Amino acid sequence: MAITASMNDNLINELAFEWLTRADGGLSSTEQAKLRAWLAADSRHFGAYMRAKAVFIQASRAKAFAHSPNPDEWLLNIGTAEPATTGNGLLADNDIEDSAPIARRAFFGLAGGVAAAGIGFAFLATGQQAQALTFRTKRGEMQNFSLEDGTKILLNTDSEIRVMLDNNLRKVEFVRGEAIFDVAYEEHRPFLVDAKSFMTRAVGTSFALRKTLGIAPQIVVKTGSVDLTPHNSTSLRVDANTRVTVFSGGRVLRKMLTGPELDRELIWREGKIAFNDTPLRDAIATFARYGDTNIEVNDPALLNETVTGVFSSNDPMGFAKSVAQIFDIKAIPEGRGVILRSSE
Amino acid sequence: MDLNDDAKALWLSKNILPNEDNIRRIIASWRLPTDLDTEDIIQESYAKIASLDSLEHISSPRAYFLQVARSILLMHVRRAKLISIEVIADFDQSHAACEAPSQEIVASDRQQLRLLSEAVARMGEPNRSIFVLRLIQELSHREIGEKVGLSENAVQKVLAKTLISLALEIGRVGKAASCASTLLDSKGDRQPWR
Repeated sequence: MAITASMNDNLINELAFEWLTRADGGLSSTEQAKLRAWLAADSRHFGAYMRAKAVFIQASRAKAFAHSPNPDEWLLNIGTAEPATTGNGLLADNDIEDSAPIARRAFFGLAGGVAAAGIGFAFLATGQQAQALTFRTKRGEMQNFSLEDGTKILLNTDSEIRVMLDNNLRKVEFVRGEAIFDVAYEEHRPFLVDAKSFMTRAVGTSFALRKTLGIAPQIVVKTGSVDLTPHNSTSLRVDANTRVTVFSGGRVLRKMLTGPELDRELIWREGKIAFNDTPLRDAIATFARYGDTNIEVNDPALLNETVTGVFSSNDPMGFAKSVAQIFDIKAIPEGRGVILRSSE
Repeated sequence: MDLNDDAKALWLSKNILPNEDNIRRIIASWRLPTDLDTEDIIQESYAKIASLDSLEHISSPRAYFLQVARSILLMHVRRAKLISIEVIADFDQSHAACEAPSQEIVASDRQQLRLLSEAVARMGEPNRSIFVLRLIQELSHREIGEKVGLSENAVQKVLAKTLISLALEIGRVGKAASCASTLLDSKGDRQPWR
């Protein structure tokens, strides 16, 4: 179209973007002087340069997709539905619709590598049967554990499980939190996880389980399959690339996951939290799982606004700053926390 | 002049850039003197807004942008001593309805991200790789050059070109304002400025 052509042909505009990218690479003092002279020579130069800077800043919003190196997948992450204006990951009856994708939900991640004192190996080395072992992470910790059968467990922040192994059974009592189980294959010694409201059974598989306060527990199967039995209900088989959320009364919501969706579910392994059109109140609640940096919002209406992007779970301040930038408000550090304050 | 005035650039990126396409369309419907084109007005507008001491008082960025654009045309016309009261009155009033503050465009973060990801998905190579390596992975121009097999200088040129076309794509959040396209359609009925 004509507008495009005129823009692309505009010499000042081209020079402005050239200067901007040169400055982005770093300018010598001579070059800086040249740039200043160019900017001062014509107000259009200065305008075009400020516009170029604005474009660069806007383009860097693409960092929201940092978890996915392939731009073709970005749109999948954003989805095409209109943003949901209400709701959150909290348990609610109207969330339960057969096979309907949940439009909105919080994803969970972990805080970076504070190493916990290993509770695991010493006990396991004894090989004592039916020994209950407790594995626990503090807020902000993420920890890998290996069981004597070769099963690997990654515990996310603020999580606790109890493991019992004997000759016939491998059993995990899932107290709270979030974990990924890479279950070593043993056909005759099934691996059971008891999460109170449901039980899972596997012989060899990789799956993640989450059970945190106020949010319906869920299981994500990465490879293999898992049999899931809700409390007081019949069991169902959950195959790879599937997420099942378990609601009260034994009702479940099953969702097939695309590759990027699966990666997003498990992105906490990398110390990140992914939000996809997540209400700010849920995003803040998610960060609260990872540390005690308190994020407050002075305008309650903001809590229903949604955020999209991937953030470091050990950097709530960085998250608050991004949110401030998105909503054009201020992030003011206060005490141990930060207040998000709208300018009005 | 502060080369590192990022706060202003940030404000422009959030408040002015999303309205730019819409304002361009309105300007395109004006009868411009031959020595002043849409691009001049856009650039002068950015310069004027970025030169303000404070941007906080601007509650309606699109309306402000439009007002600045208009004043630039008027100043130019007066300077050029080509004043035609009739013409000025004409453009002051003709599109009052379309240029009303109710047309204010507030682009959600999600909308902007979608426009951005659509634009990046459409980019050809090596532009797309260079964009991703610089803006997402935050590599230096030198590191990018090593990866894609181009000189640092060539990387900068590609990045500049990529951002130039991206600028037009991400300014389109305001496309929804249907008034503007009506303006364009009726443009043909008017006599060009002579």
